[in-house]
This record gives sequence, C-alpha cells and structure tokens, in this order.
Amino acid sequence: MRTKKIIMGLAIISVTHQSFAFSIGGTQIGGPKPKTPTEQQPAKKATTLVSIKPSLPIVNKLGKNPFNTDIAAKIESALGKFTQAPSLNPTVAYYETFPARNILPLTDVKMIDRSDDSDSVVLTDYVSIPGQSANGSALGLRMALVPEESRVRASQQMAENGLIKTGDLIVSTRPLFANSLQYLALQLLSTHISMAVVVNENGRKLVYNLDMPMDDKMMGGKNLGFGKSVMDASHFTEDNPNLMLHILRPRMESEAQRQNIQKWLEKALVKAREKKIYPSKLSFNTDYNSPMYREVNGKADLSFVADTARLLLGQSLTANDHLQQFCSEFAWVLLSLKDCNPDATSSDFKKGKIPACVSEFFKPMQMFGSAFSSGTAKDEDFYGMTDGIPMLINQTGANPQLSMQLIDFALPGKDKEAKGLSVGHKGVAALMAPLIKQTNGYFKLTLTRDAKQIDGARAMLNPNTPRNYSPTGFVVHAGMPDSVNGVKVAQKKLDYVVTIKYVPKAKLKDLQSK
Amino acid sequence: MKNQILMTTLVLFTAVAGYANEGEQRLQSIGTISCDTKDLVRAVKITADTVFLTETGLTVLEEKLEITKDQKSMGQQADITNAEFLSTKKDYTASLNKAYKINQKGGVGITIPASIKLTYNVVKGDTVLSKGEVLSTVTCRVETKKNVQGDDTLKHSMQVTSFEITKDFEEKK
Repeated sequence: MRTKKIIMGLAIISVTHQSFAFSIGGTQIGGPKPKTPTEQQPAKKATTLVSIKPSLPIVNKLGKNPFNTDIAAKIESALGKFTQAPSLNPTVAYYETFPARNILPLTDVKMIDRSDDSDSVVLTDYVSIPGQSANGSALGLRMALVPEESRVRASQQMAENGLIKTGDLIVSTRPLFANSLQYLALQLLSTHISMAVVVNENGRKLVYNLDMPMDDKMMGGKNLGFGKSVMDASHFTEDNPNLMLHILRPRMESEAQRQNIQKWLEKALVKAREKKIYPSKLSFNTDYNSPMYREVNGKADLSFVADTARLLLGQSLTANDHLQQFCSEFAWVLLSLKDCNPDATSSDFKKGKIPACVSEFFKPMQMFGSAFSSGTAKDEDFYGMTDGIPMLINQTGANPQLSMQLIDFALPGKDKEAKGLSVGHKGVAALMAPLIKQTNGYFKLTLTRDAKQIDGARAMLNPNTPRNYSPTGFVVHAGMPDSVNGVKVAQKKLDYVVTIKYVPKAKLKDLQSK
Repeated sequence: MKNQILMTTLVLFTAVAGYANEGEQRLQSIGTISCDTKDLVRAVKITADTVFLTETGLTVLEEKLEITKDQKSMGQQADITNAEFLSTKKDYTASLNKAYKINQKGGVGITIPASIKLTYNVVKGDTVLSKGEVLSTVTCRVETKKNVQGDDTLKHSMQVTSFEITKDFEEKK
C-alpha cells in the first residue's frame, strides 16, 4: 500500500495538524512540550540553525542621478525586461510604480555609500515616467536589490537597519504580467499581501512574513522552517517568476499603536506556527469579491474583527462559528486592532461584545471614487480601488494626449496570454471584459473634468458589491497624493517605502562596490 | 470533454471577483444551490473533477495523484466512484442555522468545516490501476448579495479548506 500526504494548491493544508513549540526572543512561547525530531513538522528545517553574522548597513545609491544611463542599464540587466512598450521604460510598467513625490523619506535607516560584502542590499532609484509638467511627479520605484542567495541575512539587514518594520505590508506584484490581462493592470499587477513581523531572535532582528493562508506555500521558510519564512517560502521563491515586493507602511498615530500591532502580529505568528486556528477556525477566503465586512443600516459590523482577536488571544469565537478571510482582509483586520492593547483588553474581548478600541484601519473602498469629479480631498471615498491608473497618470502632470496614450497602454482593449495563470483567473478576466472596456472609456472621461458626466458614469460603474479592501486597495492608498489643491487627502492611510527585488549576487557586485 | 464542461460550469458559478488573489494556484469559491449536505458533496466532486490548468489538461485530483500530462494523453485518468458526507450532521446543521441567523442580521454566515470523503479509481481504458480515498473539508457561506438589477439575493457558496489524499493503493494484478 502506498500512502501519500500532499499539501494541495487549493488553500489546503493537512487536517492532521501538528503543533510545535518555538521561541521568539529566545523564550519559548506556547505550544505543547517539544516533540522529538521525528514527530515534528517540518522537523529538519525547524531545527536548522543559521550562524549569526554581524548586520550589514544598506548600500545607498539613491539620488545618484536616477537618469544615469549606466545605472539604469545595470538595474535593467538585474531585473530583466518584462514589458515591450517601445515608448515607455520597458522594464516595469508605470502602473506598477508610485509617484516619486510621495515616497516615504528614509529618515531612520542606516546606510553606507558602498560595500565589498556581496550580501549587501542596495537601494537605488528606478524611474518609469519622468514628471510631465512643472507640478508633475515622476513615477518610479525605490528599489532594494537583494542578493537572492542570502535571504536570511537580507532579512536581518532590512530589519536591523529599519528598512522594514513590523506592520508593513509586503505586496506581491508581478511585472511579468504587464501587457497581458487587462484586469491585472487594473489591479496594478498586485496579487497578494503579506505582513512583516520584526522579531528579536537569538540576538538578532529578523523580519518574517505573516500570511493568510497560513500554509506552507506562504509561511514554510526554506531556511528556518514553518512560520519563519524570511520571504523564502515557495510563494516568494518558486511559484511566481520575477516577483517583486512593494513595502507599504501603515500610518500610525502613536508609539502605543505601533506596540499594539507588534503584540498582535507576534501573537498571530505564534498561532500560525501552532497550526491550531488555521484552517479549522479561520480559513482562506478564495473569493476576493466577498469580504466578511458588511454594513448594517449604514454601520459597519466589526464582529469578525473582534472574533479574530479572540482567536489570537486563545479565546473562543462568539459572533461566528467560523471565519474566512483573504490575504489583504487578514491584514486589514489586524491593523484594525491598532488601538487595542491585547494585554489590557483581553477581558473586554472575553465579554463577547465588540470592544470600543476596534476600529476600521481604513474605510473599505468602493470601485471608483470621487477624486476626478465632484469630490474633495476630505472625502473618505476620494479614490476607489480601481482608480489606480488615472490616479498615477494625474500625478505625472501629463497632458491629455499623453494621458490617453497611457490609459491605452494599460488597457489596450485586447488581452494577451498570461502564462502560468489559472483557468479560474482567465475565466474571471473573460467575464470582466465588458467592465474593462467601459473602464477605458471612463478613465478617458475623467480627463474632461466634466463632474456631472463623470459622477453619472461612476454611479453606473460602481457595482452592487460590498465595500472592500483588496490588495490593490492598499496599493492605491500608498499611491495617493498627500494633498490635492492644498487640502490633505484624509483617506490616505499608507505610504510607499521600497520595492524589493531578489537578484543573483553576480548581478549586484558593481552596484554594491562602486 | 466531461471535465472541461464542468470547468465551464465552475467558472460560471464563480463569483466575478474583481480582484485576483494569491490563488494563481488556488480555486475560486463555488456557488451552490444551497448549503445542504448533498449540495456540498456534489460541489466537492465537481472540484476534484475540474481541469485547473488548460496547459496540462489534468483535473485537480489527477494533479494531486501526480498523474502526468503524458500519462493522461495515453488514456490514464482518475474517476470518482463515490462521495459521502462524514461529519456529524447535527453539528453541521446547527452551524448552518447560525449562519442563516448571521445573514439575516446583515452579515456573512460561515459554517464550521465539514468533512467529505471521495473514493476514486485510477483507470486506463477498462483496467483499474489503483484505488484510493480523498478527505476534503469544506465550509459553506450564506450571504446576501446584490444582483445586476440591484436587488438583494441570497447566495450560497462552498470553499474548500483542505483536500488530502488519505489512501492510495495499487490494484492487485
């Protein structure tokens, strides 16, 4: 008899979970007594020790003339050419980048000018479209080029130097799919969100990714074991060729909020490693159009957020029998606990009501917002989840003719092959084709500034679906301008920090050392 | 072909998700007529029998059994022979009733995971090469959604939370 146990690609994990003890900061937290290596899962990797090396500062090539063709050529040589638009920068599509003006300043990141250590992470600029007018902003990326052979040490570098912080969103984005399916362009090529958790472990800081689904594909670290993925689970290393990772930082109002998020994320990491809540009590929602968030009589029902907190506190679900969340939904839920100190509010959650500290991290979004018509920057629906393309173009200060070309570049009216994308996705893309066709026209209509017509079209296009917090919604938040017409954009809750691209060491040497 | 027809059905059942998920390798949810145990069993069977990537032509079950594209082209395939609901119906029904109550209050009701067992044969022509079992757990969602006219409609959908081959043995020759 031949017996197989196969972890499947269907948001699936073994139903015979085995929990195991582990530590953060050297202290064993939770879990039953340690099992023998033969009982553990995955025993071999969980016991792997990686020697502690001194942390390296990050090499800073930012602002060293981003238009320098030599640097640009080296970056493109490292990244590879993904897109083929002759008039635009061919490596990364503009709708996968951010306005340079909004990139978060790195005020507290330790950096040096050059390094001879081949493990060094290099920061550099990548310009997709230069600003098109006096008030326009270039679109581009702050790239962190990371040696792919040294993911553990890179995790340490990025954590210890403050480039990545707990609570940061790690957005999986797919340059490979530029100029393929148009609905992927509407999503700004973003397909998944993980969260960063910086932990002190054995005398060093490391950043781990925390995910929904909490399965081996997302959290099974190749170097350090399950629940200790330093962005080296198969999602990051094998399943998605040419993956890039945008790092977005949630805006926090106080140190207390930052500490609360640290505690909640560490608890979530513990629960993921124990394998006791996923997928038996909290499972992966494969339908991104159906969040648990609903409004009842105009008021948000956040009972599912409170129930998630209860699971992380080791309590029972009260409002629901089961929770189901997609990746960015889980991130939104955890960030919606930023005002709750888990140590102080545990008893409040136990009472079964929704504690007052639970609040929406951001108002879940509509498809299209009011930014291009009658809205003001004070509106909570100023931008919608699908507004990314015109929002970016608008910030370049491009004239109407170029703007229309850029819209057609993103939505040319015809899909091209997206190899490696599932039948389900292709089916959804086909079903969305009529909406995409209308979206091209709607985006061009926004260039007219005819508020009445735009509002009319928007009312028809905003479908009868619940508000949502898709991965693209988070990216749109980070791409929003800080202000419009001198008024602060009240909706904006995230900032863009950097985009990580893992590349072979051999391609980085010149950028590190010169 | 049978499986491709089922895939078409699946895509039509699939909610039109405006946003791609990590699930480039994961199935979307499957719309069902109800959350009745019979409908769940049927939906799991459809899932197992679905061609996931057109490039390979393999069903979900065949991929998990590591049948290759070449073997499939030579006539080897997995056939589901039986499907049954394994969980305690009383517990599942209580959970489903709670899901309806949550939905009536405006929320999304989700049942506890229920276990469903599939049995299958791997065949080549008339020859049975091997037999086995799959244990799958699924949840069922009850929610109210707007239809294209903007009217509220009650929707049910199933989501697979695990799908594991628990027995797989070769037939005696």
